[in-house]
Amino acid sequence: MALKLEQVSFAYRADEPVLRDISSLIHAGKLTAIIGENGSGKSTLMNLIAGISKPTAGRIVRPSSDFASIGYLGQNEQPSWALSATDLVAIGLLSQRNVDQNQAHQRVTQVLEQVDCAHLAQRSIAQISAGELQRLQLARALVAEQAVILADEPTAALDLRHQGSIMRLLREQADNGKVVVVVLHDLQLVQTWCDDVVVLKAGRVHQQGRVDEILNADLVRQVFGVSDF
Amino acid sequence: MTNLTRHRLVLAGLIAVLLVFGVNVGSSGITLLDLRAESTQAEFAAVILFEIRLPRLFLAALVGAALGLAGAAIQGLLRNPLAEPGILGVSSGGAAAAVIALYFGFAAWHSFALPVFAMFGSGLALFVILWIAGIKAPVTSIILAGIAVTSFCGGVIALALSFAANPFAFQEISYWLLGSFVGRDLQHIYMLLPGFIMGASLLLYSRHYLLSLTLGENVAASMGFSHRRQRLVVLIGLALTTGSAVAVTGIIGFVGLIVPHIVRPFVRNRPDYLLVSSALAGSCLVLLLDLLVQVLPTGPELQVGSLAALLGGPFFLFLLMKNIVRGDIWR
Repeated sequence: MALKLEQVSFAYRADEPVLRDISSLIHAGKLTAIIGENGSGKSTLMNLIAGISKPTAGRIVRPSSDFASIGYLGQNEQPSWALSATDLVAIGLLSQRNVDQNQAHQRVTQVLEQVDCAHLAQRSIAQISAGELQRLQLARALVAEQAVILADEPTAALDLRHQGSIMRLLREQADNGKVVVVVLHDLQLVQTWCDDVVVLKAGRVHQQGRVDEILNADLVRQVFGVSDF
Repeated sequence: MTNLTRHRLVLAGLIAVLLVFGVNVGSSGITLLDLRAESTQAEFAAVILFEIRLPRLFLAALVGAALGLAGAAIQGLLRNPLAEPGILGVSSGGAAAAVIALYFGFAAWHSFALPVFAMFGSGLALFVILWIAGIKAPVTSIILAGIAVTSFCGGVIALALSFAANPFAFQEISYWLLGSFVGRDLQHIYMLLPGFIMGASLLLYSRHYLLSLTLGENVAASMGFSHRRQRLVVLIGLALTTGSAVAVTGIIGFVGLIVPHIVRPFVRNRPDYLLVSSALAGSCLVLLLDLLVQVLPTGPELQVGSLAALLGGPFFLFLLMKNIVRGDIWR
């Protein structure tokens, strides 16, 4: 099982392509990072994989064409209402048909335990920390047990300990045989936690492969123009 | 019984109490007890109670439900607790269209002409606001667009008034605009019902979309919600409910703002649960306001719309100040 990108292109305006000819095979059971400069098209690529926008050319082959097959954790966005933790996580089940209340309750309880937030279940999200909120958001993306998990900069704005806890949870998902793709800015996290990496530069795949084979000072200099990796 | 069911039952009970109480209140001093009197007086009482007061009460309950529901839905759609059909010009859009219908005599074609015009006007106002500001716009832009639409509609209404054929027409239109249930009968309920039922169904159908929007547009889209389609559904639902309410009673502002705010703590801030609960609480509030204007010793009866604005204006300022202090609204 894998996620396949075949010559995917995307443009908001015809003369300004954001992504050009992206082809990639993203394996299940691997934690795959997408890295690149700001504006290189990382989030756009995530949106295409998540089905939020459609490619202007090429195609994306998902394990299942159903939306119910994707768990998406977006860039840090503050929820507009102060829901309870349980209600927030349960939103992840809206895309699932045939889930009755008991099953839903059970799944939410399980996934809250999984992300170490069982103690927050009844708490309002207005009263929890940014790190806890991000764990709940991840729980929401995992609750429906989708085959593909996407996380767009899930560690932004988190301290070191919480960064680690989010990465560990994503790692677990990959180890359980899911397709897990994560956009990261912190290359240390990529090195520590990820198996594969797709490097974007100006909307194209600059390089892709195993983290331990391609992520080195040379690549960082070429892509980010800095020499202190 | 869950908390949700319990508080909805309480609201429904409150509506029933207000209905029973309301049917006994009126300028003629007739109460349910008069039904037991001798035959002619009982017949007279029955006419007052069941043909004058009861329709007025039902209409107040339905209009309240429509306004509460519309307020909850628009706040969910814009993800902002300061949104309200009145503030955003959706009500004035409906009112301006209704005034045009009255002024040019379209309203006389058919009893549904007025609500249809008002619904269309509300829809157009909403469309223009979202078109000017864009649905992703910060709330300040949306409110500013709403102000622009409101002033334009105000201009249209003023124009119609200043060219009114005679003082009576002028008075009729301006009284109608103030928002009132005086003299409303069964006919008005029939005018309101189709728009209300269709609009409410559309808004309730959107509850999952509104819930998913809590986490942002991308998350909602990633769960398979099509923004274009869902927004259209909410938009039409809002136009139908607000427009048909405006058509039968004129503008009653602030109900859609206050009610969701009061109800939110009881539904754990969930925008989906908020819909039905706001509808029920809206009924209560408007019934209460309509009873108040009848028992208040103000000589000529106050208009419900004026009372709502008198109470709602300060409340809106309070909300605004609270939010500015908290600093989380002006993104």
